[in-house]
Amino acid sequence: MELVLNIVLWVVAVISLYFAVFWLLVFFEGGSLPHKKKKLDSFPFVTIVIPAYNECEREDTGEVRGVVDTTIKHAMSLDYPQDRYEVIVVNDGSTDDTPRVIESAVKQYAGRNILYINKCQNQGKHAAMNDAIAIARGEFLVSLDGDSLLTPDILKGILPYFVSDDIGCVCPNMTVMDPRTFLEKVQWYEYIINMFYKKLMSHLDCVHVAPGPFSVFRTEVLKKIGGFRSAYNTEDLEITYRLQKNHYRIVQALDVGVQTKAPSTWRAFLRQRKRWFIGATLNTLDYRSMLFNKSHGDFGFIQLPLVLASPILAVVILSTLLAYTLKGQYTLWKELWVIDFDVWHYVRSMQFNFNLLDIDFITLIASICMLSITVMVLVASFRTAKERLFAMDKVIPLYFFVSFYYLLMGFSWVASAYDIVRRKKLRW
Amino acid sequence: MVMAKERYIAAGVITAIVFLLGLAIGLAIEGKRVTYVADQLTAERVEFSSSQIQYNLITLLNVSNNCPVINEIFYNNLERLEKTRMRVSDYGKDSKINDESFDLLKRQYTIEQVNYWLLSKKAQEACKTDFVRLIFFYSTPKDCPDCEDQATALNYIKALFNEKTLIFVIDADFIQEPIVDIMKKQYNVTKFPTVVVEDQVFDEFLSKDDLMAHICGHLKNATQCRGG
Repeated sequence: MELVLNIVLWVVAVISLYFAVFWLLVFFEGGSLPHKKKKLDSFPFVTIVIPAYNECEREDTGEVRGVVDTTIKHAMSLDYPQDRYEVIVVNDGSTDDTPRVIESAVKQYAGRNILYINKCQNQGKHAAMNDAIAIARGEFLVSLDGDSLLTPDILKGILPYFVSDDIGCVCPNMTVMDPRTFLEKVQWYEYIINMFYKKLMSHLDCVHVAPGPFSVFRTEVLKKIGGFRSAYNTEDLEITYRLQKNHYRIVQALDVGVQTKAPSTWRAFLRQRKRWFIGATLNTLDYRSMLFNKSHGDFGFIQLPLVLASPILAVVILSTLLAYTLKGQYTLWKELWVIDFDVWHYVRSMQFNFNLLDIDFITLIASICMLSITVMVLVASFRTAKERLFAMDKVIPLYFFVSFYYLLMGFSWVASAYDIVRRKKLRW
Repeated sequence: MVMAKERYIAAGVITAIVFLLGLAIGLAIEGKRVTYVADQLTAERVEFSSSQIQYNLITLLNVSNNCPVINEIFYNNLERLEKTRMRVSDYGKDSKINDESFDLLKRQYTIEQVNYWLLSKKAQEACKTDFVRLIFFYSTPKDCPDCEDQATALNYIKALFNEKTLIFVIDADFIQEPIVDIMKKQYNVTKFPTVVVEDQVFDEFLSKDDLMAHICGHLKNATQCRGG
């Protein structure tokens, strides 16, 4: 049994190291450098779609606060000619105050290019997006989640990335909006690293997800490939897979940003991750014909295998660490029980007999390698994002992120696997 | 969709180099470990010879006033020997290529332990020292689920009684060394754990209270045995 466990651990270590080395090579060959841009000579017509479902939150005071009204306000205040873009807000059968909040916000912009679709029944984000695509007038279509905040120059910043017709989508740099809670701060670190990683993916044309907050698509391309699909509630991931399958390029921009609301509670976080992970796994299995398929290049050879390998790696690492921790705890308590919890003599019986040669150097070197890679990625990510790595209020979240993030992912994967086995219905 | 094969190959080569480097360091460390425990063994042997001669001299010249110092040296040597023996055993388990070297060293350490056990009898006679000798025969967790608990209880006893107990630990499965077999036959060891307190054999798990009771039965004067 121990031999099998050791072999599994070694295989996991080799695979993890291979992926890490691969992405480091991409970084060193300039993968984090900005993509080519063209000068924006004219202002193409753009449609911004804001699908909204229960986007209101009740504050401690009992007051209902809509995030979507702020999103609409931001969308309507872009530094872009007013007659060159339209906003379509879709209420996807919300059961809270969202329709009222949207109506009130839309009224404020009467006379501007703003449309409101009020759906009585919740059909999912993909259906809301498709309803908007059907009436969209824009050459480009933006998907904008109802819980996102924009910088005014975002459109002017992102459109120049469409330098050729084969670019089907450009994604902005996504950061966590106003991180206040511990969990939001942890995710703030996560998002910055993820964006850096996506930039590296973009260098190889293997971005696997164009996220909800302000990904810009060519409308014609969206129509051509058949619009959005439900895709296990991860329509943003599936549409990206389909763009890849149809050989469209997806570009990750880092100099134009959007802020999005990250889950502030552990429960909401776990629910979001389960949706992401289950969606990623099932969609990848649906698109398995692209796996190791030469015609899909690095997307098929590194990205899809990585999506499938991630849960296995995370779960193996989580279970190994848990097994070691539990074994250590079991031994400690069992030993204390044998000596009737005489802690004083127990401590005295410990033989502090350290010798440098006792160190497990292979594990030590592996740990140093992984830690060095983590630090290198952190520094490179924050430099690229032009953010400060250290901030007094984020020291503990940073420590948590570096030390326990992978375990948290492992736990989320285990929960996701459990849901898949139970065939539990996926929720937003 | 262009794919650079070279990047995949380079990543594979670098990964292989890192692992080979790790393996090479591991082997180098293993070599150092063999040298280290072998050097320790040489030092232990010198210490053993010294203790042996000192006890012989005490018996011959009848000068017991040196006993406390010599006993302390003996006790410390024995403790160091046990620590190094455990280390040899651990290194042997971790060993990837030097199995035979560690087996040989383990044999030598086992012999040294038995030597010390024999000498302890002499020490007791020469200095009339008040201590109890225990031998702990252990086996693998599969054959002896209670051995780990027994080791815990014995460690506790050692911490409690200090130099009043001398504990000799013998790996009953180490058949490469014939002395182990002789010791097992001597005490009729067939079950594990087996603990020998002086010449009394207990072929079952002894709790810390059982051990204390048996040890106190042999000690003439020990504060640890007072107060019920």
